[in-house]
Amino acid sequence: MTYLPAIIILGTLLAYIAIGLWAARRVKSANGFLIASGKLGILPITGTYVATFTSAVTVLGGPAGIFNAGISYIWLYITFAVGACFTAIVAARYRRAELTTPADFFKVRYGSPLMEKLNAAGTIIALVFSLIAQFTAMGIVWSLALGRSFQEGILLAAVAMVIIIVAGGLESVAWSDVFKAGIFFIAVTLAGIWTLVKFGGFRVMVTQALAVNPDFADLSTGMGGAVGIFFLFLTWSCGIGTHPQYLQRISASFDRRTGILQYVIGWPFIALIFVFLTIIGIGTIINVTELPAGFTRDYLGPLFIQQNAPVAIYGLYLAGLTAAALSTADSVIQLTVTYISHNLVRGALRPDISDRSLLLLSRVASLVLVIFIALLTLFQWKWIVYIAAYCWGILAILYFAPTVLGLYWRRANAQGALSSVIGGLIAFVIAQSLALFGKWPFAEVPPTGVGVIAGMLLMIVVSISTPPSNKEQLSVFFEK
Amino acid sequence: MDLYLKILWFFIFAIVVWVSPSIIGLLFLKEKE
Repeated sequence: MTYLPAIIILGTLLAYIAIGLWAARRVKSANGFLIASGKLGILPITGTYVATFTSAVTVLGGPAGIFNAGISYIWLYITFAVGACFTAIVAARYRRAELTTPADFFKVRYGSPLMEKLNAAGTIIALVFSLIAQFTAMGIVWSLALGRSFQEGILLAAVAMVIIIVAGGLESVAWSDVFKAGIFFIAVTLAGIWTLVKFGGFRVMVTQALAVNPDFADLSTGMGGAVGIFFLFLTWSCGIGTHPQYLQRISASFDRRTGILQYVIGWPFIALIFVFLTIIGIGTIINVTELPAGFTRDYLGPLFIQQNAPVAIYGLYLAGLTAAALSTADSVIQLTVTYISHNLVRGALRPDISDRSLLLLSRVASLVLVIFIALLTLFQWKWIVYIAAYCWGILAILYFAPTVLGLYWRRANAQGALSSVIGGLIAFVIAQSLALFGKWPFAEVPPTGVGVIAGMLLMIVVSISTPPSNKEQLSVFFEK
Repeated sequence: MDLYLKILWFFIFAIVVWVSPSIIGLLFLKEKE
């Protein structure tokens, strides 16, 4: 029995590699590697959307968050869904252009190669730091399940990811995500249903949780009150709404209809995942009164399942966690490589590069990137964790106003978009520096939130005060 | 209000929001391109 979790995790990794290698057969060009030639059908596109949406951070953070903040924690999942509503709205027009990376949008809609490059560079930095949290989660899963070292878990996952990304780029990532989304959904659903049955239903669970922690029913304090929740929406809904990994998946979809269907089909599944993670979180309040030495609260969900559920459910839960950790990390690595290859190398440094060389370069870049991030994660520098916490906010500043307004507001122009991105980042850096030195007077207002608001206002004010975009740029997205 | 009911309603509200990306997608699918 002691070997069961190890066998399950290794089995998940092997299945993941096998599917990734199988899908890689289709990849014959750089475009195939970077964006699956814009030909992904409903199954792979929905699978990769759901798998990317549910990361290990969500799975570990969910039950831990309910334990800490009570039921008010689900505001976070509400902000996620509102963000996805924005993505669906964006998708309805975004697929009208053939884009390789989300930075291309700035070239097509605003006619600005400068913004395309700036955006690509900013995105690469933000994505690299966001990957560290995902790699950390993989180390946690491994050390938790097997009592083996954190480092070993990161290395194993890194090797698995290198194999499939190098082999088949987005094609491999997307198809292996179908498998991962499936495993993950089944794992969380079974664990959630089992929890409900064990305690005798939702009502009994809530009553018991209230007996342990009367603050459990508070709907806002745990998340920073009304102001805290408002900024939670601003950071997460805007950050998710136009996160480049979702924009990339719109461009990779076979057509507009497929691009939109990923949300129509995917969200009932994601909603159920949130329901069951909430229920598992309530279970931890009732049942885990103290954590064993050496465990942080991130371990609460898996620990609760391990201590209470049958070993088969626990094993599946670990497989689901492994799948969740891998699926977000490999997607973000592959996305980062598309910016490096397409926008920086083909777009600026070597415009005449052959397709063959670009494909090779993308594969080498994937390998180097995984090694680099694995090293950053292994050293566990404090400042990295600090920067990683702001990645979503930075991505919201880089993309939200320029993309949403650019698609639905004719008057939005290049000057507005550039001021929005640069002004938003400057406002963020100023607020963040003040916060670092303890001089930021608004405790509940996150510095990223200031950047997002400044970016939106600048986009509107500067666009109105300068000449509109030319007809050619507008015709791509507006006149169909 | 009964604390259980308060939590139940909040949870139901959350679930409605969690399926709204699906509904918005459906509305866009009906829109003529």
